[in-house]
Amino acid sequence: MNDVSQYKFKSQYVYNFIKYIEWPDNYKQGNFVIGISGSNQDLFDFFKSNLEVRKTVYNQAIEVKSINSASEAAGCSLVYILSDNSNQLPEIVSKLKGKSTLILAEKEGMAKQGVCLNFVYVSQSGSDLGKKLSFEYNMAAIDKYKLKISDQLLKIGIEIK
Amino acid sequence: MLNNKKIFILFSLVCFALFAKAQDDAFTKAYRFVTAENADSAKYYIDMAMTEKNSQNDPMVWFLKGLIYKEMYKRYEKGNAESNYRKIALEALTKSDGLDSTKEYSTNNRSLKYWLASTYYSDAASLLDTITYNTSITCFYNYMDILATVDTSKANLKIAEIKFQLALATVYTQIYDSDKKNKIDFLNLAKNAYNKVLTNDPNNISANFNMGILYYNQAATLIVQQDFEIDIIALNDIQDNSIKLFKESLPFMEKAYELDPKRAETLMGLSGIYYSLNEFEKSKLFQKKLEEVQREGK
Repeated sequence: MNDVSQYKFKSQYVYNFIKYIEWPDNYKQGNFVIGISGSNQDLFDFFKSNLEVRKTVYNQAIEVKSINSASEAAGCSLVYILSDNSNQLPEIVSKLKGKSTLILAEKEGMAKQGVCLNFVYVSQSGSDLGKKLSFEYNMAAIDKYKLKISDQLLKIGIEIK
Repeated sequence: MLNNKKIFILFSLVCFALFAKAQDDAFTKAYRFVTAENADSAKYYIDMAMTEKNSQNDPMVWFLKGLIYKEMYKRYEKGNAESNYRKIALEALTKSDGLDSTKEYSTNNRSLKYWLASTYYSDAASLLDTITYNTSITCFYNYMDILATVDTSKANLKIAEIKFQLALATVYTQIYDSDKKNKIDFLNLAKNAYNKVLTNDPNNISANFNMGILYYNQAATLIVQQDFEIDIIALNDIQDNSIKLFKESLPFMEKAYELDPKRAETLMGLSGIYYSLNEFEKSKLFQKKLEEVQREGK
């Protein structure tokens, strides 16, 4: 139950990212490919079974695939780097030059290192117990990949410069 | 508790003088029939005796009526939660008590009432399920009301209430679990039942643990039941609400842990709650404690 609720929240966030971020026109056709880089098979399976049955706002089928090498990232609209693979970031970034692939990570400090969005757990205001899943965004990285993020997401996320 | 034979012996002593005087009246016949285990005829004569003016104020006659109706209950209505014979028996015994200024019959009355009370308890226990729980509650509180008049020990009442509320909470939880969307009221009823236990016994491990589990499961259900495609604002709200519920479960589970730090289910519960609060280090700490306990148990 615990892991499943984590996967559910994360996949729902990803689904909302797809909804509230605009990719350039050439990314609005064909499948919307989400590449997952990391070894969490349960998370991968959850994403696959819950996201592949849905479509993007541009009516694209969502495809979830596992990325085993940095070069595979180039064919994706969104790359999700799991915490156990965060050291792959420089290599993935190097393969995404000139692309509009949104990079999402889930490790502290990754937003500063140039990912567009980064899952973090934040303490709730007025309480020293209980953290909420949220996300950081790096506007420079988002601009670099020519993505447009909606105000809705900016309101909820935490900006990292 | 006195059994029937003892009651008859006591009663015989009390009545000896009376029989010497009046051999053939309705009261005497009722007495003879009940001692001969012919409750139907005894009932006929005691009902007749009750029409006599003098009987109305005689605690002995009311006692005999209570005894005979108790026998009628035993014979014809045992296990019937609505038994009229049992009600009449109790009313008669109460009337006898009220008239008995010298307390001559109080021991016998108390014994019979205690026995009748125990039948309400048996009914409450056998009817406590997801269908007949309301009748069970009625029987239980009938039992408690009678017990309060015959057993002055508040401790026994408390113990009975705790046992019953724990069982009732389990039934309410079963009903809620069968249809979480539409039977949310039963979740609150289960919480109320555990709260009643905790009011009587704040150190009750079972109530603390189960209350923690109720809140935990409520939060988990909130997450599981949410529509996958909800908007990010609603998603944020669901997280807030589930965290609130996970936090509410924590003090109960912590209390259960304080009362028994080596109980595996509690350690598992605490690890789960902290994990759900995204407090991963604390979750790991209780996971380690659980593994230690499990190693020691091997």
